[in-house]
Amino acid sequence: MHGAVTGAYDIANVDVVNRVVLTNKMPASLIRGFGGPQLYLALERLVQRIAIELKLDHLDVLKRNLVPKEKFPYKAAAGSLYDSGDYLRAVETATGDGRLADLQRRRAAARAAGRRYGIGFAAVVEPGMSNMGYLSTLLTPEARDKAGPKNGAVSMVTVNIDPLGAVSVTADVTVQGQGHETVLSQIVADGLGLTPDDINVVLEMDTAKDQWSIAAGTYSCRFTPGTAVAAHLAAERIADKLKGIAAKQLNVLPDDIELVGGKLRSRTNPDNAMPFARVAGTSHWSPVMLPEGMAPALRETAVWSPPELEPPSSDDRINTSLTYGFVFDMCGIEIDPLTYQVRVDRYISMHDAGRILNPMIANGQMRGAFVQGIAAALYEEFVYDDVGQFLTGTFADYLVPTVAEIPAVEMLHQETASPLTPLGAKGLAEGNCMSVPACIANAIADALDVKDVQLPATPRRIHALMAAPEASRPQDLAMPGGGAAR
Amino acid sequence: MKPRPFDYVRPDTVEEAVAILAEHGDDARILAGGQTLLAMLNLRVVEPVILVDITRIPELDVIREIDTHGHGGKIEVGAAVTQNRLMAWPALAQKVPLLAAALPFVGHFQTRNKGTVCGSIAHADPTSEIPLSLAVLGGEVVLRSARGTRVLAADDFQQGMLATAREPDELITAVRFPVMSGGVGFREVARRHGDFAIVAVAAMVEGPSSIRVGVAGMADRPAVRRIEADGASSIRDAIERLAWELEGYEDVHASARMRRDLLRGIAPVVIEEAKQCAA
Repeated sequence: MHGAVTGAYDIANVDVVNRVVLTNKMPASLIRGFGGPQLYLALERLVQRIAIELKLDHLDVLKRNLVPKEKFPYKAAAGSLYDSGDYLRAVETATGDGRLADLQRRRAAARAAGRRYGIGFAAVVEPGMSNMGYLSTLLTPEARDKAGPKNGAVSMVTVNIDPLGAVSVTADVTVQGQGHETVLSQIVADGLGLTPDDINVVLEMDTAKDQWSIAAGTYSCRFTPGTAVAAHLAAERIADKLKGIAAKQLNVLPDDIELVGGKLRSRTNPDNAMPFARVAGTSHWSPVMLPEGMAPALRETAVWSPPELEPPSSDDRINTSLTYGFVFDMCGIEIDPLTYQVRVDRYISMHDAGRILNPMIANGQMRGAFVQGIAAALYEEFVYDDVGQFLTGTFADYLVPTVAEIPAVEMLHQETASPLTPLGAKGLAEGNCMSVPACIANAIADALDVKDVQLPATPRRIHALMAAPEASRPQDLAMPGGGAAR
Repeated sequence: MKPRPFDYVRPDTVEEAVAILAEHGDDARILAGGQTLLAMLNLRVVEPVILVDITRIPELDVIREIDTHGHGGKIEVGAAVTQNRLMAWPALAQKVPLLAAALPFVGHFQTRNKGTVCGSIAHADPTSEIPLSLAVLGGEVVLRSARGTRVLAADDFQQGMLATAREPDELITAVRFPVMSGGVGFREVARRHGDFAIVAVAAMVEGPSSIRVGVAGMADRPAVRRIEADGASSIRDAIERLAWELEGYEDVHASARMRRDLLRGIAPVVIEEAKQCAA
């Protein structure tokens, strides 16, 4: 997050003061956009407060300060290189088509009936694929100089074809249900003219024998900008080798060969073709038939390390990630006057994650992040009492929202390809974790006309924000426990 | 966590069960649906020596209507009857509409498949829906021991936070809900669907201007009041008094003040629903 501390806004200068706090409360671990929800809650609440203080429209202030399209690739003040984007168009699309007008109509109707209704906005930049050099920003520039530069994010994928033409893929990720097998099989199948069913993706990893480097694993949305690219490169390299083998046997130039429908064939004369498995088998069974200088067998490990991930500068700026997606959220919420619960009336989330590799998986990831965003905004909290006693030690009190608590979300997409990866795709599974708490906090601030909204916005906190002075205890009523009324 | 080791017995008759309780007393716990008890065992909040599983005692798995000496009919629910079984009992909405309104708030569909009606009464959580309903209806709890049988009014049975009048050698064999077909209303406020209530309110119309109102989550046990009131303002006054009488309490989900405000907000709605239901 470090390099993108200015979020989606065109802000020329930034001054960062870090405070390290030691606590004996529950340690927090790193999951899904960590650091982002905290940063964007502060930043997006600030944008709303700027609008209120200057008597301007919140959405206008937000739009006016977005990084303009013509400035991409955009070097952010703290060092991030925003690869691509059209933020204003995304906001216009999301608020257009009557969507914002509908929220405003709902708010007007609710307020006319005396109900508390608010509209919130949040714009966030979603980094994907961390620059491992960010770890060294923990050191002083002098210590970094002494240790030598740290940077990059090495991704690795191996594509292997056996003597029968069966294709297998291994990679440097440890999948936890994100659907990496599906996406890798799509990418490799596309590169080899096969179908995803033909590709056997094996993601179990043993660091004693399998490929891995500093950045290996599944985190920081590094699969799409990292591992997926390495898979694309490995498949491309294997395809080139297959083209060379086929060209010699089909008596055409390698450039004339295409891989389509399980065959290698001449573009100019498609009837001049060989089955994929036969070409693959040649490299194992008949090295004598290979073009001169080509090594037998088919196994390619591609390593992807984009040059844009540079080491931190001497003044602590760093391009913390390779890709930067954009999320714009807009919601209408209503406060229940009897229960003090926040009810999400309508929620719209606009994403630009570059090229989408698999729409169903992308939407699933975004919804998962949305649920965690709702959890942070309204439910999950580690609560301690005044003497440090932990009060939310079971799932009866630490409230993880279930399907019954999750409102509907309307997902919209815009695709502004990243110029920095061959696939043009960006990370996308963390954005809503960061945007939802800020968007809901802004809507609550609008509904209750308050400055300070603490999250999670529990009924207890909402009640404290709403409660008028209480009528006093009836004079004739004894205090509980038999004592006289004071 | 896992529970400490314990013995497990599954008697076939009430006589056997109470004999085991007579022998072990406080060292024994009765296991019915286990929806609260098993979590308490795993957290080692309770550490019994022996669990007495009563779920296979046929005479406890009964819902029936009884006539108690001219005091009107009662629905008797045996100790092995699950919450979902009572919910699915065809006559429930007609005989005890308040229970029909309250039971959907008890835990989740899955927990109601195992959780028992009497188990909820025995646990005596101050926010629970079934003890609240029993209190508002003026029901009874039937207790058996080797020494004999006694029947306690709901108000005498539940004595405080998770505290009841049950003696260590006694088994709750059944609870009795008076047949009561007047208008009813029930609502509760919880953080999530199926969570423990922060405040729950039940109301039952007794006569043209007489309503019984029960409140859970404000004190260490359900509180029941008769409100004699015609107009909205007198109902509001009565609820204001009740809010201050009970005071409410502080926990992680609500302050005492918030509990009073929840009561002020919800009780008039529930009373209005009960009146409309009666009309």
